[in-house]
Amino acid sequence: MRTVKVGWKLAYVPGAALFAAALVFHRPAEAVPAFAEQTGRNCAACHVGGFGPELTQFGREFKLGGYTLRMHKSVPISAMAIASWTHTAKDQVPPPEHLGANNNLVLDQASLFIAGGVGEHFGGFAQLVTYDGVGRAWSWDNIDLRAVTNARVFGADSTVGLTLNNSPTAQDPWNTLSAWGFPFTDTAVSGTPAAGELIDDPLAGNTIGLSAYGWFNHKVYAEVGGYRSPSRGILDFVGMDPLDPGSVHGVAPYGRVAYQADLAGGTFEIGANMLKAAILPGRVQFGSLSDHYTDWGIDSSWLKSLGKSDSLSANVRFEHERGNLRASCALAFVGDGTDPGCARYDLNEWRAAVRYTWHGKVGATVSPFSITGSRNFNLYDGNGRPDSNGVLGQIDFTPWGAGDSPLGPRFNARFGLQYTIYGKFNGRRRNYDFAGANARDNNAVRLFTWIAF
Amino acid sequence: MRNEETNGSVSRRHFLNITAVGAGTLAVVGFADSASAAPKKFTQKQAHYQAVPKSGQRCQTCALWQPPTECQQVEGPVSPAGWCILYSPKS
Repeated sequence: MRTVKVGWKLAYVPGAALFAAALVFHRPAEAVPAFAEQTGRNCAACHVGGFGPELTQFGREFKLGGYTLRMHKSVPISAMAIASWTHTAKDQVPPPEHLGANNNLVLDQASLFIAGGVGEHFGGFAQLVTYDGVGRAWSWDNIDLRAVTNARVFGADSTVGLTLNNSPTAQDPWNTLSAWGFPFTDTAVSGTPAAGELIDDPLAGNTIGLSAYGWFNHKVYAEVGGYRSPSRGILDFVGMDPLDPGSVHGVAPYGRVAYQADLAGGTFEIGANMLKAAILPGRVQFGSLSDHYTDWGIDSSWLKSLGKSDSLSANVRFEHERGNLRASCALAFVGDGTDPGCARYDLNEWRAAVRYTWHGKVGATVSPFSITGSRNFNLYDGNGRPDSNGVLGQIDFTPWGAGDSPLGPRFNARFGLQYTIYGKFNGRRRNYDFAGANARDNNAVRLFTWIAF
Repeated sequence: MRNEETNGSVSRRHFLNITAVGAGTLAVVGFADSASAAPKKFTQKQAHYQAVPKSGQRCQTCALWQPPTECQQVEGPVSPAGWCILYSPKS
């Protein structure tokens, strides 16, 4: 994300006022806390472990129903903040901008939300403003506005609707895909693998998408839509870099299907997704050339409630990307313009996360991950391979997921410890940069505090 | 070179102030609305209640079930063999 220098002190004033307003206007009840207040149910009703964003079966229904389910009138404003301390196995060279080489304590982000339903047919979740405390920049964040109606399809109770959103997969109700997949919080402080797929993050906040979807018989989900790039001026206005990754040429189609059913006493889901995009890198029109990306993936999840507010959840996804960077190569944004093999590559990415929640307050998650792909010296440094893998473990404590915080039922918090171990990093286990760096040098311990109200 | 930082600063400030005014208005409207009497339970239509089980899930095994025919969250009566979107397995 581009670092935008804002009139920081002036910009802070309205933000602070809003945070204060959200506190002053807190209502009895406990998502974002605005949704808890609206539905009259605590955070644990919609979120696994009593804290977002992993959704329970009811949380998915609430989202697919357009956030319209309402028991109480509510104040549709919430806020959250995440702060963390990160230690990496070796000092980072060079250190992150504005920070030290190691042991950094930062405000990762603070966000203001507007979230709620209007009547029976309209609702939305808008992470309207996020301050990135590492990049020291403001921008908009995940936005998902919906119009829905109930319908009977082949005699079955169903919901059909439209979602207008600004990030592919932000509209998805399962926590298998990129926007809401584990880890639910990370930091820009420590190094992460260089390779990633288009559907993972690059289009988040840089596109506007409209999809039509159906949730048939509370079992079958189907969605089809497309994404376009807003104008340069709009992206500047909302704090996004209009040149990264460039502009979508025409419309980038997106599709998603999923099936959900009871399996072994838990809620099981299996699905597939597809995103296809032609992008003008740097918003440069170079003849008829554009970069082509085709992403497709499969995913599955299972969530089972156990006794005493315990639960077991598992999420897994595999995503493949085929890229053809004809425009970037022709413009020498990638390579030097002389390599005929510059343009094409393939990536395979998978990630799984298994979480056990004990008594609704303590969670333990193990999440292995891997990305592999074809060798391309124009895209990747070192040995020219994108390969990285490792395991992320997390232990967290959510004391007030049942809405019993001493600061009021709208206040919720999670305290956690993450440990990331890399087996391979940017191509190799040892000496991946041919300058002596090993994958394990990027192993990181992170302590975080995440509050929402 | 275009003075992008200056332009960005002004527009971002406007963006934040628009956000503040809009959200503040919503807060006041929401707060005023909340003073009115609110229903204590969802209607059966809101909850997508059906009188038959769904994929093996039934009211009788739900944490919100109140025998013989009540639900903590949905207006009754409801069938022990019914189902709705608020279904949450009993602990």
